[in-house]
Amino acid sequence: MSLEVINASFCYHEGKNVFENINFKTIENDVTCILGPNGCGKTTLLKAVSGITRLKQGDILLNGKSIISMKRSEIAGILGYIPQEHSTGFAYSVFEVVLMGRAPHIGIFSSPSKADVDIANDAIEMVGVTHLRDNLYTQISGGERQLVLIARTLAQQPQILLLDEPTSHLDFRNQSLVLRMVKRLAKHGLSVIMTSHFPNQAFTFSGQVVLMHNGGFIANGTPQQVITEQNLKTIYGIDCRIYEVNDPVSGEVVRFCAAADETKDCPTNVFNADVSNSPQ
Amino acid sequence: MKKPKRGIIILLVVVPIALAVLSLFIGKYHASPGDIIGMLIAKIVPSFPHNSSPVLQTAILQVRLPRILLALLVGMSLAISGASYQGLFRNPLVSSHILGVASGASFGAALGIMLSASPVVVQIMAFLGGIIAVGLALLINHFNRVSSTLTLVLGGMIIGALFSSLVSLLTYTADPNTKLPAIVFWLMGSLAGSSTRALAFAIPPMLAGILVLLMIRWRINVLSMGEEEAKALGVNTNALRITIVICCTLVTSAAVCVSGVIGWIGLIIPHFGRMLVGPDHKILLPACLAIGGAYLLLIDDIARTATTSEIPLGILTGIIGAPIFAYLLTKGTRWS
Repeated sequence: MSLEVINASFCYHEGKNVFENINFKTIENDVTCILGPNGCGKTTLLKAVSGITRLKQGDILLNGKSIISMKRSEIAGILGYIPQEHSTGFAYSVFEVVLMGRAPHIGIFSSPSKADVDIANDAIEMVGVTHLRDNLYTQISGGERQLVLIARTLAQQPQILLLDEPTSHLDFRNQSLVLRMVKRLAKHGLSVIMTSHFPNQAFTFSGQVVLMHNGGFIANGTPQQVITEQNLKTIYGIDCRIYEVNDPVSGEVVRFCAAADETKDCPTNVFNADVSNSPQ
Repeated sequence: MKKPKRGIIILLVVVPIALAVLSLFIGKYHASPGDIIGMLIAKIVPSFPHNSSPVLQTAILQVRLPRILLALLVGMSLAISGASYQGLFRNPLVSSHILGVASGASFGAALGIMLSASPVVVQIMAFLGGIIAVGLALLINHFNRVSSTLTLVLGGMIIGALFSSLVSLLTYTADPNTKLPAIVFWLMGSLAGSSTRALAFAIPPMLAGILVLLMIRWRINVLSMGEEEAKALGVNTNALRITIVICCTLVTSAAVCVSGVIGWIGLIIPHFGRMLVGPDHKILLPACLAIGGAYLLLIDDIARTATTSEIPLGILTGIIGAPIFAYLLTKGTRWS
């Protein structure tokens, strides 16, 4: 199953595009990371891709078929979407929340069947939150909640998974757990699109990076091609260094980046460093 | 949350039925339980020997039975629409009257009383008033550029406020010797006017609305997670929202037109239901039917027997309800 974004543009108000001319195509069984700073239009793009909002121009193709012509339940049978902001509402149990993932497969006048219950239970087990099954969704931690939402999306049995900054409120351990889970799901046959503003997440977990800045499209390609010191400077407006080390266990080259320490770069000129070059 | 205990489910089935049967035996017309049972059996088995008078038959079958059924149905209607609205609007503070049903129906009824219309016409005007009010709220929402759940609530509040003012206007100008008491008494709610005809009028819209709400009840769960998430889960949110609103409007308009305005039930019963069975609408809506029906029946039994004259329901639901639910609130663990 492939998802292709063609020349996508969107605006809330005429003449002020949130993003424009975005093009990319998912890679089968891998993670595509949409990378960009806060407010660059990532979330809006993902909502348009999931069919929640409608593009002003361009198109989104699922296996060559435009989502504009598809019914909502049809889209939801293929695309699973996990929002970033999420208010919990009523005190449903974790199981009840995961079961809601079955909605696109259940008729309007029907309730979940035994088969749906089994699928929800399997999804809970697959994500490894069986111990939370009967807890209240409102009373578990942010990391656990993210895993429960992933379970809900798995119960939906989509072919493509969309995650909007899945790690935004999580601590280091939970970030790693969630991203590992995402990567595992991709390896098991899901195409994943996730947004992030951490370049290192893209280095570690994704096979393709789409770089966005101010609603525009900068580059797309492998992390190595796209996440360059020059590009990071363009989108974040700060000097960065990219480091390469050999992983002592696997022997593979691992890349990561960090903001350059300006006190070492230009020790005599600390206080008027680099504001004028900022693109914003 | 584990599955609701079996004991609770059994209680929810048994209590309303037991209460309904029991209510047949209490009332102002004095009749011995034996006579009533004999008469009821004789209705089914004509050869059964009994010593009941035609007056007894009328008192039980034409007066008490329709009133009991109406009390159950009105309670059920208000409770299920309150629970559905709380799910739809994702807000435990809304009630079945949120979109202006009660104000619209009150205006219709007050206008009918002012025009010295017959009770049946007053009832029909109340029913239509409720539907027109919600229709106007939907119309406002329809013309809103960003139509959403919030704009729908605001539209409902605008229309509700308008009709409340119009009701005040009518009350203010009503003849204080004849019309005013009738309007005020209607506004406080009562089932004293129950008849088989009222029952026949109210049952079709109530049952239709309740049935559809029960059929879509699981989807209300998904909708209560928020509009965008429901969309992402494949729900046609606009269609579902309008379906819920239409059903709730039908059942509450039908309820209000036969009983007048009864507060509390559409607000508090859903909370009580959530405490007993959890927020899953699949179980919550049937539970609300049982609790709402039983509660209003109990209140109505008190209303018609406690004193020599009828006590308006709107007075009792609050006075009896407040201590009960205040106690439950202190005990509650899963309060929304």
